Amino acid sequence: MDYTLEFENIKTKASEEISKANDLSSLINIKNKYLSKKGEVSLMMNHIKEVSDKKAFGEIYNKTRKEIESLIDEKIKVEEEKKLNEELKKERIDITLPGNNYVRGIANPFYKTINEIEEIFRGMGYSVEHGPEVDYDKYVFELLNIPHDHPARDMQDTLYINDNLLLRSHTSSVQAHVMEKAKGKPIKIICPGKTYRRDDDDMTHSHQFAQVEGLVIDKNINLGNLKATLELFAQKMFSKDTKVRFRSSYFPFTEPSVEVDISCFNCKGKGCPICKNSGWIEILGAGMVHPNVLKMSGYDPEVYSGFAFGIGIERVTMLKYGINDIRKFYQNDLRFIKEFKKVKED
Amino acid sequence: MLVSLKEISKYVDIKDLTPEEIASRLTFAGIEVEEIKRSAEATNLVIGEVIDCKNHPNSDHLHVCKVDVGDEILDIVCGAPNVRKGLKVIVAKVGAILSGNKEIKRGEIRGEISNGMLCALNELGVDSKYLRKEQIEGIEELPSDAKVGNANVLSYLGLDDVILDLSLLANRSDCYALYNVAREIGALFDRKVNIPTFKEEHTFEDNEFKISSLTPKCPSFYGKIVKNIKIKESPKWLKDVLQSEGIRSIDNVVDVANYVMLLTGQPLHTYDYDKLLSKELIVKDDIDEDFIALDNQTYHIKPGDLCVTSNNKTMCLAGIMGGENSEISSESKNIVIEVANFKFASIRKTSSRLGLSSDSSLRFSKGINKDQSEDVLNLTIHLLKEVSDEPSSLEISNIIKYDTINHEPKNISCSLDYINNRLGSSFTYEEVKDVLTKLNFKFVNEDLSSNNFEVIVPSYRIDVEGKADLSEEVIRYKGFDYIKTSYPIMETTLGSYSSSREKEKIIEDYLLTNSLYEVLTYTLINEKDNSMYNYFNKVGNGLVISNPLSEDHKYIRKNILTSLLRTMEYNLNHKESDFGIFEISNVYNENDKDEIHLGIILEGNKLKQDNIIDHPYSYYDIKGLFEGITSLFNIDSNRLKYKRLEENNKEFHPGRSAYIYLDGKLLAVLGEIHPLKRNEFSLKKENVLLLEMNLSLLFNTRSANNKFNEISKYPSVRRDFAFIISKDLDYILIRNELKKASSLIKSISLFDIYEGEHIKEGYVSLALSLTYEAFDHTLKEDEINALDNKIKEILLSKFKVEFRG
Repeated sequence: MDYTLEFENIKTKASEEISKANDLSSLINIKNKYLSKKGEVSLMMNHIKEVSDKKAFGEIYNKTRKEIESLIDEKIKVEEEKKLNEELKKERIDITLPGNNYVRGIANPFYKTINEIEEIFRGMGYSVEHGPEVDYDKYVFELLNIPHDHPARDMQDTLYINDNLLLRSHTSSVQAHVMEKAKGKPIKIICPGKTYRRDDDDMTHSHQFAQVEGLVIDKNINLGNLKATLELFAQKMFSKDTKVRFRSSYFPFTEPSVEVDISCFNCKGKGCPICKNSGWIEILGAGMVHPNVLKMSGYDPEVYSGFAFGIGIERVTMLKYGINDIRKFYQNDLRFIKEFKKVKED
Repeated sequence: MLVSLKEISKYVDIKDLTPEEIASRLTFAGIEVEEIKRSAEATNLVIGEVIDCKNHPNSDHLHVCKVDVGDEILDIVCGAPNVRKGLKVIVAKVGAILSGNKEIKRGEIRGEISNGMLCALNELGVDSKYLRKEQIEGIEELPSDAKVGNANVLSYLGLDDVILDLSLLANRSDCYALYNVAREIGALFDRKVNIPTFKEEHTFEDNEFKISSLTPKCPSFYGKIVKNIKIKESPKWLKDVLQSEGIRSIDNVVDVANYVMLLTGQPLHTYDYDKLLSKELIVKDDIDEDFIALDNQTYHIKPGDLCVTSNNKTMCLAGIMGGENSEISSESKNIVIEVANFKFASIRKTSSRLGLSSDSSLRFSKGINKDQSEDVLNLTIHLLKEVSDEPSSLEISNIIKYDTINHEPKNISCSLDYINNRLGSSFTYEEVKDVLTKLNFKFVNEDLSSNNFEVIVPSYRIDVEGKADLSEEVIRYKGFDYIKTSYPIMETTLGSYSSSREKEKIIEDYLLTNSLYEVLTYTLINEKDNSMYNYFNKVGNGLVISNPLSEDHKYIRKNILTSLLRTMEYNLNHKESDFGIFEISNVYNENDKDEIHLGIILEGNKLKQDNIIDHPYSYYDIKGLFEGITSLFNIDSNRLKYKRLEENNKEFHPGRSAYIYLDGKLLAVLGEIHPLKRNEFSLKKENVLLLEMNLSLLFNTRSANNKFNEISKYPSVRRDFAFIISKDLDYILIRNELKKASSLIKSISLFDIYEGEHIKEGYVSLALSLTYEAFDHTLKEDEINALDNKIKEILLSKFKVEFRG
């Protein structure tokens, strides 16, 4: 007896059932129905006694069993995947919600400017120094060629603690401190710091403000060196094509003294409200260190010369970002500070 | 300083120069022209005569006039009370543009035609402060000889002047003299300058009047007596000049004195000769008396103030203001003219003490040319004669003088190389000589082989002291474009930060990364704020400003926290919340020395991106930041000691705050704000955590070096212990005690803290993980068990814990 057809029928029937099945449990039932001990395929083994070519029968038996098994397994795999996919679908989240990030804080723009200025001059080999805010008359005035009752003391109304001790009215006081420490050696420093004057606070005046003092002393330092240095500074700070212009001025501790204008970075010299239509913006005061200042601090003015400059930090920041009121720096309205998140350095 | 270009043009030819050209050249040469003003601005004016004047039919104050302007008769409606038939007037014709861009249009005023306007001087732009009340309320009344039809009205009125307003720096006080401004303009534009000089003249020798000084603060005093002078109104030309220069006309003598001061920069004073108490003027500085000055105010003179006295009574507060007692009046007949030199320091001191200043004190306090007294007197006499009706009747004395000044001219030796080396320029000797000569420096010694030279400084340039000043003269004249720019050639140095700045930057970056905002607050605070949160400096008020501008900015702060609390308050009031702020700044310690401090405030909730609340800020957040900072500097936590704040303190929550000591010194104070402080800073329910830290202490302490330790080859064992413990026991005690238990304990970490449900009140559940490890062998079962038992034993006996399942 040939059971080949029998096997074929079973297989056809099974595969029909498998293809109709659409969930895991019916597939398991099908598997039981055909392949378990009492399953239709297994029961076929009872017929082995009746066949002569037992080997051929066994091969068909195994083949049929394997084919059905693999059909079921394949289908189970598909169904399982379907089920997982459905589950994953349910686990879907909003991929656009904010990630778990703590946003970096923002510094008052005042600090941004100090950092930028420090970086520019550090890049030129300057060391960043500091000096006392509460200082003696000697350093703030006398050693800077401003003796008692000098008319130039009118230029700055100073806040005093007593006759001898005061809040520095400019960072130039650091010059004398630095020279005292350097003991006749070359100097190349900047010093950022807070300064104080007896001024009423308004949009453009503040009793507290900050400057960056610069001082370079060596043999053969000249006014052209100052101009080149400030030009580089202005180009880094504002824009690459910035030009620098000197105007004659007066500070008791420099000779010659100059006011330094930069070409307007906004209108490139055409005239706009920032530069009051002049094409130029006054940015800082500078000059060649006065021989008396060198002499008083132990440098021979016949051998050494130097330049010094003082940059107003708030002024530079106000110009750069278009801030119109100096008091905003000290108000610390977080809405104001947060505006500076958008500021990109170029 | 106001400079009338009309006046300047008397001494130097500037006809072909525009005021803008002059202003720009002066500004770049260091004499800043702040503003160019016209003394009047009006077009299309003509002198007219009112030939008919009737009341306006529809108005109780307007007049309907017919005005003859030479070539036509204009109908003009005028509201001035003083308009009348026969009056010579200033007529602004149709199309005229008056001051303030006011245009005159053809029109009808209440039914009457009006083809122009009759003007008052302020309508032409003359500042009302120079005008009398009736000149402002009515129209200007021109003299009866004014020529009808004259269209050069501004010139007729002397109002065709241009005024430069100079903003003078302290070194160029010489430009408080018009003569010197003329010299400067002449030099800058390479033009000849003619400053007139006059010979001394006198009609009698005075032998009795005595002039002297008993103080070195008045090194010279020149005088002249002029008798038989008539005090009267000044002529128009003099009044016009003074008005252009912003000085009110008083009478001919005072006006001449002021004019001479304007020209020469030398302040003068004139006394009524007959009112002096004796025939002397003696300068003293030891007077102590009340003094009524020309402004009718009484000032108390103290020893030290310079006074010009007569019979020991103050006649003049020297250099500042004359006295009422010797004032020139319309009855005065005989006068004494003072041309003195007072030391600027003394004038400044008295002037600022009394709050009294004048054109005279301004000039003295900046310093004046002390070598021109005789010329000044001669010029004064010349002008007095010019303004008097009968010059020949004036009786003029010889110069009576007291003079201790060495009038030797100042010489400066210099060289071409010095100038070029200082400027970075390459001027030739001829160029330098040309510039200095134009600026009135006189070359007296020249060595053309070495290009060394010596110059005499003009006496009015009191600012020029040495050769550096000469380099400035050259470059300000030539212009700064002559400088060759080049970078300084120096030994290469590594750009660097001071060590404290470098460390500050590390902390700044750490705190910014932790979402805090960096703020900037004032150093000077008020008394109330100065009395709060002073944990590092509890002594007195600290440093106090002796001349504060306001009570709000009087004390130099001793801490940062108070300022940060004010910043927090400001932001809460402006609806900003849930933030952390910090500031790094100097403050002053108990020895009034500066110290770098860090202040931090955390307010409300810690936020993630997009303001999603992460968690409410707590003590552990502020402590966490503190620990983060100390770990940045490798501070071993064993060196830090925590101590609770005093229970009676009213600034920090006593149960949630700590002093932290580093090697026994106070490093920081931190914790939650005290509930009693909440009202003061308008706080509601939100958490507020504070920290103040002495960074100077942190920066100056030693920090551990990173040391490499070999890793054990043998496996380590981790054991967990979970237990319930009273909240009165501080974790640090447990940790330290367990650490001592065995050298095999490699680390202890706290991995869970729990309180609440299932944990009884006052207790907390802790879970610790201990790692055991030996360097030389694998730990055996019994070793591990022994360690476990020891740990349990310590926890039970010392800390009375209850182990959890």
